[in-house]
Amino acid sequence: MFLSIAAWPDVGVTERELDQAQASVQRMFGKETKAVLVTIPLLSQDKEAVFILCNQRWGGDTLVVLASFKGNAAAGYAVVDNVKGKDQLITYIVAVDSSLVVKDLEILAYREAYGGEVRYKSWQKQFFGRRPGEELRPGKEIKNISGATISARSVTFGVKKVLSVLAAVRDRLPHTPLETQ
Amino acid sequence: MFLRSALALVGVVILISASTFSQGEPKTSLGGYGELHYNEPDGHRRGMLDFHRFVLYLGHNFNEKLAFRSELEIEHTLIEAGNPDGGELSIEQAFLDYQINRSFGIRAGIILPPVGLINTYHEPPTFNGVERPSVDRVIIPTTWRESGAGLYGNLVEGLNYQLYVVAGFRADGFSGSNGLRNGRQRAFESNPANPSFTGRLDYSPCLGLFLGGSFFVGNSSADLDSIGDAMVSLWSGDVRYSVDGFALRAVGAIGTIGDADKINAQFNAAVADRIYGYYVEGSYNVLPLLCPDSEEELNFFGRYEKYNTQAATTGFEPFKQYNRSDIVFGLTYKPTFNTAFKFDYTFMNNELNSGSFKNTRQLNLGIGYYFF
Repeated sequence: MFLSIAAWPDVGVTERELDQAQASVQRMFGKETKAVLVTIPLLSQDKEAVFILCNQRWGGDTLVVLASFKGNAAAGYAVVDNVKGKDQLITYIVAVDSSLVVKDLEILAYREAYGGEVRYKSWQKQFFGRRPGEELRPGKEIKNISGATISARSVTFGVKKVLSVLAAVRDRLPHTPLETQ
Repeated sequence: MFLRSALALVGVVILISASTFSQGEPKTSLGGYGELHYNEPDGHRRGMLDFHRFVLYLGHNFNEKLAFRSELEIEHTLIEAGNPDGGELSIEQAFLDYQINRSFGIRAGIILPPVGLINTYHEPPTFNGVERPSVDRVIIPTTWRESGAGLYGNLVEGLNYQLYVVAGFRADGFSGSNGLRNGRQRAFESNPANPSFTGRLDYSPCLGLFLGGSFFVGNSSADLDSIGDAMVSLWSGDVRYSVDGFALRAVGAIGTIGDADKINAQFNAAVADRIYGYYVEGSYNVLPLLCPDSEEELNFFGRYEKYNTQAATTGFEPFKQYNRSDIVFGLTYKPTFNTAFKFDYTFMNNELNSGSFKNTRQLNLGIGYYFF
């Protein structure tokens, strides 16, 4: 468990959030799947690719992925990240299937005084089916939430960034459990 | 043995690195909002330029659960000793939040009674029109802050609640023209004699639709026995809906003032038994029609407001000049989501329409911003 936390220094995920994340991934991909924590080093060309794709910088030198397997085949991948809301971090998890199409989104920790509407499934569903490279703009493809504009924008930019970093390391994502060892 | 010590050491090192990181999280944050107004009455008399509000936001997180939030406001830029026409410096909000879990948090300090829409969401780019709606000034006395404490949280998906006990109104400030407005204690040496209850439910049944219901109930006698309890109640409902560049918002509020006859016997202020107001506003963002890729907004809007601070009176006939309506047309240009250039033309009508209460018109220009 310590190792897991250490593997996630770039986003500052706590042990509790990691437990939550693992439970979320199980729920998102199904009971029969098993998730493995994989750390993928990010090279400078990966980071450059992320910037070109979404005009945002990925903070750390690694990407930590919860890779989900059903038997020997990859069911999908999930990434935990933080974005800044009005003045607090919002911790969220994005799950994509094996072809990087968004399958689910969940807010693991929301700490703001107002604007918790980003936790509503009706809003999160707008991301389902989206792919890396697709336009994801607040107020355009993704509706804003009146009274929660800042957090809705932050999470929208966050999902776009996570999809971009997954696309940048697409070839290095594990396709079988063996590749994670 | 060696392996075990090595593992323990690795554990320690990793724990340290994890805690080092958590110190890097934002703890104290600064932000703010403001609005500059130009108002020109009747469209051709000389107008007035005013930096109406300049607000600094300061927040601090003590840990995952405990946070402080505050807003310090300077109104009308200038505060000068001996100048009664100057502005004011005030703490608009300052409270501690203790969020125990998602559905249960405790809030205490100077808080905003969550009645109506504007009192809670007042950053200028979030509403149309240079001036706040009249209903949110005269019927719901925005900006309205009082000392108090209470609970807040999210019950089920889509449903949020807030419930507070705060210092009540003081009936000696009530009036026929401004309703409850000057009865606010504004957390300034508040008289705690009349603890009042205020709360709000927010419900979002589907994407883009928000429904709200809010209330404020409490006595306002502030230890003055001659005016009875002077119980005040204010009830409000609001709707916000947006789809494809079209946005609709509507707010209704009704207030009752108990013992208004006794208040009037004491203070001679023509206080009504009942006040009410509502407004309906529609807006449409035309910019996607002109340049589909733009993320800027150009919202044309129209708003109709009806408000009466003497809807029912005892012992005297309601004054016709306090039965008012506003019609506002304008546009809001938003180069970013948090900045706005505003223009509007407002028709202010009342039922009397004579003497010093003639119907008037006003041209308003404004800029507004917020950042956090």
